[in-house]
Amino acid sequence: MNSREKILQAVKLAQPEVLPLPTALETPTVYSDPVVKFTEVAQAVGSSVIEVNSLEAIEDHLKEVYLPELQKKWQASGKLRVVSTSVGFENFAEQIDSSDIDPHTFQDVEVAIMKADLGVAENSALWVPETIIRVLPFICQHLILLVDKKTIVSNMHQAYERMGLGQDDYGAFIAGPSKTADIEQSLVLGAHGPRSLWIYLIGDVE
Amino acid sequence: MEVALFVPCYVDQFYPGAARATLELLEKLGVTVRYPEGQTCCGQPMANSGYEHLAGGCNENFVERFSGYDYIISPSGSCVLHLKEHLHSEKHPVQGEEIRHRIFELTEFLTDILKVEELDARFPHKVGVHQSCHGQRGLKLSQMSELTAPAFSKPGKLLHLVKDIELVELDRIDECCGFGGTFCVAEEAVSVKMGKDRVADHLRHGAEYITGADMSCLMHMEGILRRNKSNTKVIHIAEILNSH
Amino acid sequence: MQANEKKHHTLADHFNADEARVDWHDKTLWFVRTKRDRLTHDLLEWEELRDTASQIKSHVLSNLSQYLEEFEQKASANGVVVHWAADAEEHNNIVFNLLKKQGIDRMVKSKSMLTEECHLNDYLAKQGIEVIDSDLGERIVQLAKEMPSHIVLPCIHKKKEEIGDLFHEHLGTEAGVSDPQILTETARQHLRDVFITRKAALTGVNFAIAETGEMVICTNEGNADMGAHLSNIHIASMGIEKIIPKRAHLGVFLRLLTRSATGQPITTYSSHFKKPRKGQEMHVILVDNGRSRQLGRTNFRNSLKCIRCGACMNTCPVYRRSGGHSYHNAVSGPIGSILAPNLDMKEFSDLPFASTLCGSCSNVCPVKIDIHDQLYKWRQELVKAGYTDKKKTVAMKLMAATLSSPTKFKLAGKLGRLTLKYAPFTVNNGLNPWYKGREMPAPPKESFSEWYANRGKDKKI
Ligand code: SF4
Repeated sequence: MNSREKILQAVKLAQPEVLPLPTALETPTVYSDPVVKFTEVAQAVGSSVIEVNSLEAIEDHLKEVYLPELQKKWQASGKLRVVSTSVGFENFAEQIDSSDIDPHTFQDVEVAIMKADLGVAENSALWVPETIIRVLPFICQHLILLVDKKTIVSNMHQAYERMGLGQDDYGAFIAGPSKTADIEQSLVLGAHGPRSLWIYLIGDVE
Repeated sequence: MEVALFVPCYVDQFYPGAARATLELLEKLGVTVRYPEGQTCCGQPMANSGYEHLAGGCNENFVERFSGYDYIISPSGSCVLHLKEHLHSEKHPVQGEEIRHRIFELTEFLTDILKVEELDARFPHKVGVHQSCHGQRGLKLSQMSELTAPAFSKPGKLLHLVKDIELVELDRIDECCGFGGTFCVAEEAVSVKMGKDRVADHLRHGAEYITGADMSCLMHMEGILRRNKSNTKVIHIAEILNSH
Repeated sequence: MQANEKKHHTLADHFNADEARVDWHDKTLWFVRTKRDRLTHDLLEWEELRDTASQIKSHVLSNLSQYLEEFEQKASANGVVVHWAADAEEHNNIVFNLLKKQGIDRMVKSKSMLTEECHLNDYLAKQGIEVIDSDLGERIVQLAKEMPSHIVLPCIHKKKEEIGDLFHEHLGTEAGVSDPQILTETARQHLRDVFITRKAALTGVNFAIAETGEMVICTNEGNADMGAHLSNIHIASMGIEKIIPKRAHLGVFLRLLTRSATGQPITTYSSHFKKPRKGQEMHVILVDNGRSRQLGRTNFRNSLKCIRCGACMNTCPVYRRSGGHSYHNAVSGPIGSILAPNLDMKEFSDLPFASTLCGSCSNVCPVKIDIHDQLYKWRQELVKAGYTDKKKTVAMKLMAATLSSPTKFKLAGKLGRLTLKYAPFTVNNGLNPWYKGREMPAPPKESFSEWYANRGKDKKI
């Protein structure tokens, strides 16, 4: 008998009669205004949130506020490599549209702009499916995620209900910049992944 | 109503005051109390050490002594929990089972069965309440800090009926004191450290007395208080509820 | 090491030699427990969530063989290679062979308690393969040549000054630097280099979904993703109990996991690995290593529900005051104490006794494992199997005889009041350790029974 059969056999012998699966939760918490809750939680976990109404508004904000602040706060100087997997930022960021690029070549990316499919109010997690380069939201120094306000749900149950079984080969819920508190429980942002996360909540596009 | 008083072995030997107060308090509340002759122990010291299988004789003795009463009351949450969960008798299985349902820790008996709403007691002191784990988490005498659930406390409710008592707040409302039966000697260092920390919480908040529904925890903490020549004393909750 | 030196009470005794450090350790972990309380008390459906999670796990354990096959089938269809390992040795072999085939001799690893359980790093080191742990806490204990002392906070026992010294020695920081911000930045630079240059990455698995064949990995640092997405070969190691039936069940478990673990609403990253990246190999190793045996032990089956959140450690008053290493096992604390005896009854016979049975662990456990009841049950099993001190057995027999006979008991009581020797809680102790840090109770004039007998004389009905 190989190990597969051995294990399955042992498990079969050891497991009790089948017990039923429970029903779904009766009334998980929902928020009257999920966007408000989302913003509150996102800020609490170290993200910055800004509401906008058009792609142009994002671009303006990026140029006028985000980048100058980034340079000031992180003392980033020289030409910063900004990449985007989301269309519409061509005159501003390097557009990535081929997955044939070696992921290692993104190690010098300062800012990555990507789209999230959905947000969850209770924990500010954003669902980021694989968009062309899997490592991008992790390897960049700073991450920007764009999400449609209408997609913000209250809790994780609703999120998975929306997502169903999913078509993505890979995807991650991302909630905040990467962090660690391994040294004496002192919180430090920027462990291995991004040092900051900006979230653009896109409202009704005029 | 006729109840039998179960006095755990170490209470009988070292803390007769707690047992006396229990008896007198119950009598004051109009209950007929018997103290069955020949009682020994609940068997927990063996069982918690892994020797439950040796507790048979002790169990049989318990069942023989305590059958036939309306209720069995004990001033020790830990012993009551053990009996509720583990008492069984080969010779008298039905009686054994019955006792498990009829045995009560004193404060739960007072609140749940006698439904005491007033007490003629006065205790003009600052008192810290120690929530013994077996009473609290086992018998559910008080809400547990880990759960998302409404607060309540049976010992607390009774203490609030006592005149002039001042209950102190603690930083950690229901941390274990570290007694733990044979744990107190088998894991001496951790046990003493836990006890010291628990006592310190009460002292920080100015408690003159530490009270609780389990004498074993109090004994452990008393040992630490006295070693440190503290003026703070331990007192079983029955003694406060029975004070004038 | 001498047998006794490795036992919990001895190791705990050493830990307690430095009381200020015990206080610091206790406070740090209590802080995590209070963070957990803040988040869970906020959520009205918290207890319902725990119930639901516990029931899902009960169901999984009752139907595990089928879910394992379903997962295998789905994962294979996704292009993931599925391996089965009956024990630690086989697991380690599989990893080694995968690396050998590719000619790889350096690997980066993110947190996986299973590989600690299997002692993978030592094994691979012997085969000439270098493994670097990428979780900051794990990297720190690795540099210190220690085991993690906590499953979620691996270096919670270390002070920042000690970490500063380690970094000075190994990573070239300036002597005396202990600022967590600077130390973390140093580790970031050092490990970026590692991520970029390693062709193989090993990760643990938090949840594996039978329905889709996905593996979900949760980190705050992003290290699992950095390693996996930059590697040519990603190996995921998981215990067979990590399966959950449906993707929607993640809604339940992801809500519970991090609130319980660190008091965060969710980890920064909850990554769902379904298919390998183009050109990448993805493997999963399903490891038994005693789990099917534990599944068959009715009393201890529920221990397999554990989602490794560490909440039982943070709340455990004994763990906080004895440190994770006193449990001399990869998984420490209350859950470690019910898992370890399944692996080796003799070696870990001390652990179920390293508890006051206070029950706080069972109350915080997000999957409602009856941890303290299982500790009690392990005690019974271990005694029956003969893994306890013979002297103790003799003393217990004597005590049992005394307690079943009222006459003997009366006599013992009279003696007991003088020395406390026969008091049950101090049985079996020539040199009574009670006295080391505590006074004995002062013996009263008369016992309650004596008082009652006298009272009865004028009050008998
Ligand atoms: S036993 Fe429960 S509380 Fe402890 S680590 Fe496992 S899931 Fe968490």
